[in-house]
Amino acid sequence: METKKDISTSHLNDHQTAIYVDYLLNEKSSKPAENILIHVESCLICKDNILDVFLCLKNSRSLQKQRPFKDLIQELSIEKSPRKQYTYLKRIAASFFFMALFLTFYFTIIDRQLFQNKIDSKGNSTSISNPDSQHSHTSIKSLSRTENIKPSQPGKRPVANSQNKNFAINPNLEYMINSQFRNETIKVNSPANNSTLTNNIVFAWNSFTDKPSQLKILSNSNEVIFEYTIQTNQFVLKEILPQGLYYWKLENQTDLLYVGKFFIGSDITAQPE
Amino acid sequence: MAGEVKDLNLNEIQALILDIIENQLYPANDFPRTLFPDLDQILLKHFTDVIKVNTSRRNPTLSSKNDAELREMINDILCLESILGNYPQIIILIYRRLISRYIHSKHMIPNEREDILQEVITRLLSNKMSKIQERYDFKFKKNPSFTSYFMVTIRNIYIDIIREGKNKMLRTVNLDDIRQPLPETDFEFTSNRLFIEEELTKLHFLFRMYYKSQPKIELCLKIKFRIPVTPGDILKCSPHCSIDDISQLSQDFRFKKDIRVFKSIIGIFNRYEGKQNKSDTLRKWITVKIDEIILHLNRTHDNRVYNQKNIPDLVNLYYQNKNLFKGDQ
Repeated sequence: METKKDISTSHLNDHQTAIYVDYLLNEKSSKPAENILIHVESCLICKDNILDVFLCLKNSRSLQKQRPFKDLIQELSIEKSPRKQYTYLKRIAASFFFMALFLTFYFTIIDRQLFQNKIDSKGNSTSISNPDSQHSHTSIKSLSRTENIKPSQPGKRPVANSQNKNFAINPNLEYMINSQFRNETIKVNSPANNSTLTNNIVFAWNSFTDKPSQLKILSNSNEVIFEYTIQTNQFVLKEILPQGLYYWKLENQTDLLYVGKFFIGSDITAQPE
Repeated sequence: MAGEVKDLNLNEIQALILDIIENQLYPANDFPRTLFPDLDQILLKHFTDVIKVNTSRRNPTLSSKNDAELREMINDILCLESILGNYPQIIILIYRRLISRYIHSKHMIPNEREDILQEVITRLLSNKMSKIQERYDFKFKKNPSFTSYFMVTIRNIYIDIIREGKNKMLRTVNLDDIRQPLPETDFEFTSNRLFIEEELTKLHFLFRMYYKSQPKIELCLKIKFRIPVTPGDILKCSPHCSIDDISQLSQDFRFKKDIRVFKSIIGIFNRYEGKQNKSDTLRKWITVKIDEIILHLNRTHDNRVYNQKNIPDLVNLYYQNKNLFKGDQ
């Protein structure tokens, strides 16, 4: 224990200060000695010391009743109450719901075709699959030339459906078609470019300088489906072609003489001539 | 390890340990769990550690079927005296939040707080805890509570650190916050309200520290600041005051000058104190007391926060909110 000092000449020691603090905190605790009380009454330094410790402890004890707003704010920012969390979850769910609703509306009602076209033409680096969409936006130079191509039978074009990939145009072949128009070595009579055919396909042409020796039917992916050796200026295709876009070529031994295209809008059964 | 714990059978006596901690050794009144949130866990772990290390205690603890013996043993290990004597670092662990809170409330430079906290703990561990061990006698009846004593020590360490570092432990608060307690937002309102409450608490306990002269100071303050005086105020100051004197002291002084006011009441004070003072003596006396109060209030603020001009506002606010301190009269 610390030796008791004469408090008339010196300040309160730690024990006496602590006793006074206890007295202020809880009146039921032992009352400080009379001389301590009198000393504190007139001593600014001891009053300060006591007040300092007392306020710290007093504020700490009152935490149970009323928490400081700083702590409260911190806690609120760190861990939200279940009710708050529930509110946030509801807001997030509502956001997702409205987003889903918007996407559904957009893709099913507003721009369904455009969306489907984009998906279908993914592999071909183009956004056009339907003949109707020839005028749609594209950055491919070769495709810009196809804008001049008019369908021979408008209104009878196959409607884009699940087989849309069969109707996707092939940029390379399209370019050849346009090149061919400038070439007057062969004049094709049938089928007209971009025509939609539903029955036997008759290929007929007039050759001026070069006589073709081969006729090739190509899919829109530039794969040769059929290849025929021809000797006249006419050929009737007897094979059955599924719906889609097809290209055809006339070639001789050395050159490509003509490239054309046609659509098969529905199942056809090629009948013999 | 797991086997040891199983052998110790601590799970079975855990409830008993917690019961002793909460109801006997560290009750919530003295150790509020908001301030000592992990106290139970610290003590429980400490108990486990002591039992594991001290094999001589392990067997009796395990084998003891006598509840009283077991309680005595738990008491023996976990009482504050034992922990302070043998494991002072546990005391620091227990009080760390309170220490931190004290430094945060005192030190207004945020980036220095952690360093000061570190320094305080270092000094505690190096020599201060041993001094506390020597000086604090748990058996002495008139001892203060350990928490108060410990916090006085913490304050002393803090003051030492500040003095050595030539720092200031002042905080700047504008009194306009007190004068205009009607902020725009709830947050500001809450902060102002809490701040004002703290200031009023300070003033309240400052009054209490005027052991004998508190009633006289309060009465004179009310008269000087023209705050309505109640018969209760007068009777506290002079229990045998007559009705005439009460009506004289509780009259409306709002339109009179200080000199005239104190001239009119000095006779009453002299009569009951058996003195022959002049009115100026009483007027100057209360002015000195007001200066003292300002000095104490400014101690934790910038020295210029409170002054003779604005202290009446605070005192007025204090009496308007006197119900906050009803239990502390």
